[in-house]
Amino acid sequence: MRHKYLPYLPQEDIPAPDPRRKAQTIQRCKAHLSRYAPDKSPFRALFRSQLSYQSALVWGSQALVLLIAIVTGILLSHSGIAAGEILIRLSPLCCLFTVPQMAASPLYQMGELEASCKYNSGTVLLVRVAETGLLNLLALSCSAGVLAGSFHSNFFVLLLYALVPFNAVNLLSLTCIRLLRVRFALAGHGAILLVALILSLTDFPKLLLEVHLVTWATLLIATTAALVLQTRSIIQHKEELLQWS
Amino acid sequence: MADMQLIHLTRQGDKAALEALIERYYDGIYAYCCRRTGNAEAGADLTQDVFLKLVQSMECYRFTGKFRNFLFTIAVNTCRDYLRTQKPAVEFDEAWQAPEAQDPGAVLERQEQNAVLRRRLDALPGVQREALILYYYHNFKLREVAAITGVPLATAKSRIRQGLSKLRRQYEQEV
Repeated sequence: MRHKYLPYLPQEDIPAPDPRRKAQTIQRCKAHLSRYAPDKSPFRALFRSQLSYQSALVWGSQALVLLIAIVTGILLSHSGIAAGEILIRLSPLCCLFTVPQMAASPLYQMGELEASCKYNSGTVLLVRVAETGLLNLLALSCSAGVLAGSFHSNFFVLLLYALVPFNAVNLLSLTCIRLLRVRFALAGHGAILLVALILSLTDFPKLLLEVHLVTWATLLIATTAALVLQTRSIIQHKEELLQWS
Repeated sequence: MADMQLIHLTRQGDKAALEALIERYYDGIYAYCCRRTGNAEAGADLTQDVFLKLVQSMECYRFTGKFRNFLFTIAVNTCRDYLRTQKPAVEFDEAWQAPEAQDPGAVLERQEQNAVLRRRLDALPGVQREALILYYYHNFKLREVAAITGVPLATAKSRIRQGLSKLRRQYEQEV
């Protein structure tokens, strides 16, 4: 006890509590616990409910990416354009409506309400992010598969070309969400997508294809790790804000 | 068993785990509530309230910090609510005196000295008093005191420094 070293603090010890009061507290808490019976509903119910809350724009943007991949696969397979180049240009489009999902709670001021629901807001956000990520991955994998079939390219190499730009755009946008207020964050996300769009109209994707595959693989690992950390940080930050408020 | 396991079990409705948690932290919370209110009876009542609130808010605990800090945050807020509606105890419990000396004269002198020091501590503003109690009697680190009382680290430091310097000034004037 630090107070033992200070003569101007009372040097007194609190006597042991009354065992009867302690037993009474334990009994009351046990009775109270019975009223807060744990929720036994399965986790898949949460997964299904969050899936139903996914915006139609998210589903639409993923379908659009897949559609563009199919059309370009049919039309451009003999034009001399590399399939990787198409995917590098196409993949940032996947983030168009998915990243704003992370900022949906603060945007509509629903954080407090979500925190009072059956599942805690962190779990809800995590499930939502996981579902959105899976949708993105599915759309990009299907696009890579379609283009690999049309252009007779390696599927995994094409997936690498799709995932790295996708991760990079996501990472930058999530950093905006983490650091800026929600309205500025969404404007930042728009600006990042605009830059990606402008770059995709130049010869930049062609230059990227000349980078060695090992570098691409390293970039994929690095951006994925950073993306996971950034998502974790956003969820934790949101939880802390709600927990201490 | 670690706190984390006990919390998991309590969340699943295990009463034995809840009892183990209460047994582990009861004395610390009771001591804090008694020191804050100056009264053993009120301290016991508040301790019960703290643990009832813990049962209600068990789902809010996110394993991002120590469970002890989470529990003391509840205790600090419960005591604040209580003191907002109650007048502070004028006379503190005699039973708190724990004399170390065998000589009755020395015991009496020690009790009187503690009574004076206690009155000075109770005269401090509530926020300074709670920070001093957490830091000096419950051995929390400064950043933990800041998190528990919900203020920035610099504010917690300044509350402890100001409270301590007031007590020291009064003590030196007397000596």
